[in-house]
Amino acid sequence: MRRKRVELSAKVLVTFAALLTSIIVFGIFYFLISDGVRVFGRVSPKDFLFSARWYPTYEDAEFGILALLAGTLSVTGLTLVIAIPLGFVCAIFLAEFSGRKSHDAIKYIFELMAGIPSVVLGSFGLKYVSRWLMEHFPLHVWTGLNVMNASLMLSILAMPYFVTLVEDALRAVPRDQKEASLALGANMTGTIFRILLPQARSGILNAIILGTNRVIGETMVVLMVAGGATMVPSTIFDPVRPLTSAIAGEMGEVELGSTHYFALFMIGVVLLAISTVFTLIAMKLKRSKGK
Amino acid sequence: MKKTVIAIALATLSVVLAFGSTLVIKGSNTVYPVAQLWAEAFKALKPGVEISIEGAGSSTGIKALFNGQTDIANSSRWIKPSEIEQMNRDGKYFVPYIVAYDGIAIIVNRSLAIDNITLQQLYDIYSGKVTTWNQIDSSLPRVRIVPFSRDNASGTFEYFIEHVMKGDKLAPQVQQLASTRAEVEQVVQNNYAIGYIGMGYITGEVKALTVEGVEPTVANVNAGTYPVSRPLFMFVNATNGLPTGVVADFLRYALSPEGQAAVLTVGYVNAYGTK
Amino acid sequence: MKIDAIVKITFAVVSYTLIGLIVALIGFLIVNGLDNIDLEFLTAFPRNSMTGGGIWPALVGTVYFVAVALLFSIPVGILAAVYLSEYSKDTAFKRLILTANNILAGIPSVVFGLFGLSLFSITFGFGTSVLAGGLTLGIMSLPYIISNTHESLTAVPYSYREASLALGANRAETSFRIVLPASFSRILTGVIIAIGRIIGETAPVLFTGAAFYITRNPTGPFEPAMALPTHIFVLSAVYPDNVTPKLEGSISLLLIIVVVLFLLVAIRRRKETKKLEV
Repeated sequence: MRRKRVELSAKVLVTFAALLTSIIVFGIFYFLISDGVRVFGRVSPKDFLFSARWYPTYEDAEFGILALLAGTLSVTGLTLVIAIPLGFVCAIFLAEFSGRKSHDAIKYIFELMAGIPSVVLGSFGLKYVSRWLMEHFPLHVWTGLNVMNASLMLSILAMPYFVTLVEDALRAVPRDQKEASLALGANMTGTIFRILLPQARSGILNAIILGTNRVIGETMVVLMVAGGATMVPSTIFDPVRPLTSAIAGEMGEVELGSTHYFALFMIGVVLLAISTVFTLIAMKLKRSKGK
Repeated sequence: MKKTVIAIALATLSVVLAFGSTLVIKGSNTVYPVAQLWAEAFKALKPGVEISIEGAGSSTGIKALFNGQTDIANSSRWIKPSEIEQMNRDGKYFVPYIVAYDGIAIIVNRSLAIDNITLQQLYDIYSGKVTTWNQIDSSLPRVRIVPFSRDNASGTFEYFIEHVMKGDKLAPQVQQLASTRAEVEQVVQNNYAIGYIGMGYITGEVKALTVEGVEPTVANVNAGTYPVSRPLFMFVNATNGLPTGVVADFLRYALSPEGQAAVLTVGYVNAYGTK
Repeated sequence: MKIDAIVKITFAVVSYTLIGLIVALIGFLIVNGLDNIDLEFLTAFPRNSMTGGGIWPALVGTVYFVAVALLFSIPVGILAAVYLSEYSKDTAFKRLILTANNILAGIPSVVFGLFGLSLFSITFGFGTSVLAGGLTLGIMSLPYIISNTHESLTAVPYSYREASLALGANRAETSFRIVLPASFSRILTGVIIAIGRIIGETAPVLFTGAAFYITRNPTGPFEPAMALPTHIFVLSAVYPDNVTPKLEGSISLLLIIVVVLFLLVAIRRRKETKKLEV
């Protein structure tokens, strides 16, 4: 009798714990949206999304996030341009060319790389990278805090994601396909680019989506080194103010319950929506690959 | 198990609240460094008192005073009309103490051949009307001006907008940084940068301009001749009479000759005293 | 044949250059601040507007935040993982939970900060406190714990369960007495990874639990605390240049902690794969 009760309560307990995850996700959506939508009492959704004028603390305040959105997109885009090719090279090297011992050591470094606290990278970019950019590209760089600086720092955080996930995708390709190609006289390079990479396509896409999601959500690096100007950038050396840095930079001093406060929550909703869509796409890709 | 842990924790907390006296200070990041110095010295005088300081912005500090979440609200600005309204509505009465003055210094790179700037020129630069240095002074190079500002929620920013920009908006290319330190760092690195910072942050690595011909010095702020300076406040809740006990002791220390002398060591200007 | 050699060498050069740069970066930041770390730095409260003393309250605060986070995420995470691997069938409900877990893992940390502020600090009235900050970090670490534990449990051979059930044990006894203990070591590795992930988090704690400066360590869950990453941010944001030694020391220390944690994970993983091969 007692065993039965334990069995039953265990079942209830684990089911509830599992359900709690969904409740939390629901709660996050609920709390952010319920605070966020209150910004629309002052600002129309159209102005919020499509105006580039972000002047939240003036008498005649304006709450348009287009410039912030442009900041996020430019920093994310440039980070991908830097981190994806490098990540690919490292992943292919790890999966196909490296020995067992060096493989483990490199893997450790990459894991560590992803674990560097972003506030540390931020202060490094602020002090050293900005100076380096100013000195080495004096013709193009008019300010050391810019899209490029942020993207270089973010690449350090994003690359390990690409390396790990792309390597996994490459390793998941059945070995006999590779051996067949080599047996038919193809060289290793051809096999990698014609057989392995195309076969690992959906896994690679998955890696790119998850890595991108991580880059978009990064906060401290862009707060400290992206430049903080609410302008739509026209070159990679312009300063920008990505969505996450607006929240982190302004939340600390904003008045609770003000329009500005609600606007920052609405930016949170935008970030939440982006990351949820990315996660769902990644899951869908993974499932279709599984079948 | 968990319940016991929580119960014990709650019990400890209530014991602490009942016997130790605590002092909570919240608000402006600008006032924060002075407040910390006073807290350190005050703690040495009265070891029984525990103090926590959160720098969360002037508005948050005053909000916390309404909610009773803080004993002292630091503010780098005067109380807003909306806050006065709420005060009347709630039947509350807050009293401000001027605890120090902060001069806003205009800084540029040391290599830039400029020594003085007018309020009008500052307005032109920050509103985007003027974008190259030769428009300020024809002997300066025809290079883009790189203006830096503090984040749009900070008290320093609010002051700058009100007194220099007369409420007008900054140009989009003005870079709003999360920290004064970052501003100084950038002005050191960038020959064509300009920024505004609290006087306490001036280092030998940057050049502080005279504004309308007046040097940013303690004497000039005290004399009221330096055009960009402001008082720093501590607000307390005096609904049931002026503060007593530990809050009063703390303020008394802050305004004492010793407390006011400490103000100078973190780069602000003393509000009282003859120095 | 020739092209293979060229590709291999190019790829190796690129990979090792990158690795070299990263090692140099981490090494530089650690060595750069090492001189500033001494006993006083580790055990004293900050003095003279952060230019003197040490970071003791930031260390204590970090431990508190991480402890509260784990107190929440370990039990909930392990139970949820037991559900996923031992109890659930491939139903819509299971897919819902897996989806929720993936969404949670992808949410930006600053959004967790907003949520923690809105729910714990304001709605629950915890204010700026160890409890609010710790729970926010706990929710952040939950998906790591669930995924890792789920994986560890699935790796336990099916024969363990069959044997236990055949001996008359019910599902609860099998799950908690046989499967869970068998994967204990791997779950612990997952916990260390989760610690590594949350220990350097700044934005969520900044909104919910961090004080810039306190004169004594928190004595209860409803008091604010300092934390190492927020301390780094505060030093580099609010203070003038004269705190640089303390800033460099704090960065160095945080990096050392992270390096050690990840080293621990690497060593444990290696042992685990060796065990599997035997």
